[in-house]
Formats: sequence, structure tokens, C-alpha cells
Amino acid sequence: MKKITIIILLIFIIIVSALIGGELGFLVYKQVFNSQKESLNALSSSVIQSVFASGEVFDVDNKKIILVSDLDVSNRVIIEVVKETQIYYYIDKDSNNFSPKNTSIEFIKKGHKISADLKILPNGNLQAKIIKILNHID
Amino acid sequence: MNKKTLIILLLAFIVIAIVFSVWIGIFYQKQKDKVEFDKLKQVFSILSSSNIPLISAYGIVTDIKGRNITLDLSGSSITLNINDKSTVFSLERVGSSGNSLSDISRKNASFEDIKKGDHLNIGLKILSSGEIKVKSVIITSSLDI
Repeated sequence: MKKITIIILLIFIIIVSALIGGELGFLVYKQVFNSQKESLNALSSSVIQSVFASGEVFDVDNKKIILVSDLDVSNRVIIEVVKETQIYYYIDKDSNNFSPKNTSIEFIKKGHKISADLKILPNGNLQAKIIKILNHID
Repeated sequence: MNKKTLIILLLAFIVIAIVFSVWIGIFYQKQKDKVEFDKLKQVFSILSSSNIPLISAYGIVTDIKGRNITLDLSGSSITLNINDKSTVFSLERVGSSGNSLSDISRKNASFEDIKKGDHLNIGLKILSSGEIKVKSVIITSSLDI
């Protein structure tokens, strides 16, 4: 076989291999991407009754709470708070009463330990249905 | 160059071309869907974190295929794989004293006990890959709730 024929054949084989590889990469990616999208759709359906989260408040404003575990900020959960969110605190420092009392997001401070019942929205955001404040901060 | 060396060289080129183009293919698509891809990655990183120890699902079994169960509630459905490591229990009413706790007994059950029409309470854990793992299944059908 002539040298030029070998080179053309080699280039042809490499191009075909690259096209097959590119298609393979595309299929692998799409499979992972679509299965993650399907998982998110499933998780935001009404079959999911409860998503329980707990941790310490790292930051809070009037619309969202950032929750961390052991002050590890790389492992944080952002919770959206809406007007339908029910917020309770359990410890009244004056009466030492443990019965739940209704309150608002303004009561929540950095350092509060909370547990929350969440809903996963179709866009992946987490919305609080119920927030319970578990400790007292002066 | 002898024939054997040429074939080895050719195979090496093919393998390198395929591996490189798989990577290019994945990278190109990632860039195309970057915003959505990053969002999904962030969502599953949060859902798999230790701050979210458990997610629970509740619904009626509408289909069983192999070890996959489809749960339905209010028109929404979800299909979950019940693996060998998932624990299965059933709750049964054993008394009528009016005390909801002492009237109910928990029994060990198996995947084969789950039937179409059963009401299930399922405990899930989400992995960072987006995979949904079933940790526990509780059959609550006989409680009439």
C-alpha cells in the first residue's frame, strides 16, 4: 500500500472514531442530565410529602434562611420563606414554657437551631412549609 | 515500519481519538446547558447533604414492574426502585382500645408483600448524582387511613 493511501486511511479512521466518540459523549451526558431532571420532577410532585431539614441558621433575611451543619458553610441549605410558612418557637425564656408559639421570620437570628419541613419546587428551590425554632438566643 | 507496529499505532490513535472526543462531547453539551446543569448539581448537592436526613413519600401503588413501584397521589406519580437493602414493614391494626399507638403493630414484611392498591409510606435518601435511594417502605393499607 502506498504511503499516501495509509495516511488518508489513518485520517479517515481517526475522524470516524472522533465522530463516534463525540456522539457517545453526547449520549452519556444526556442520559445523566435527563435522569437528574426526571429525579427533580419526581421530587417536586405531590407524592413527596415531607422533606425534613435541620441545622443552625448561618444567615437570614426576610425571604430566605441559610442553614448549615457544624458551621460548615460548604454544606449549606438555602430555604425560601413565604407568607404561608408557619414559624414556631418552643422555648419561652421567661416562663420556661415549651408549648409552641407562632412567630415570624424577623424572630429568627443567626445561631438559632431550627428544623424545617420543606417542599421541593420544580426549579429545585426549597420552600419552607413549617419552621420550628429549637433554642433560645439572647 | 512493520505491519504489527502500524496496527498498534493505528489502534492507539483510534482509542485516543474516541476518548478525547467523548470528553469534548460531554464538555460541549455541559457548556450548552451550563445554567441548568449547575443548578441541578447544586440542588442534588443540597438534597444529599447531612442537613436533609430524610425525605418521605406517600402514595398508592398503581404499578409494579420487577422491583420498580409506581406510586400515585392526586394525579402525580413517581416510580421508585426498591432494592434488596430497603427495609419493608407493614403496619396492622391489632386492637380497638382507641389508643392509636397500642392498637397498631409493626411487622417485618418483604417486597413480595406489596400489592397494587397498597398505601405506602416510603423513606428516601437522595444521592449527589441525583439518584433516589429507597431506605424504608411501610405498608399502611390495613390501617384504613
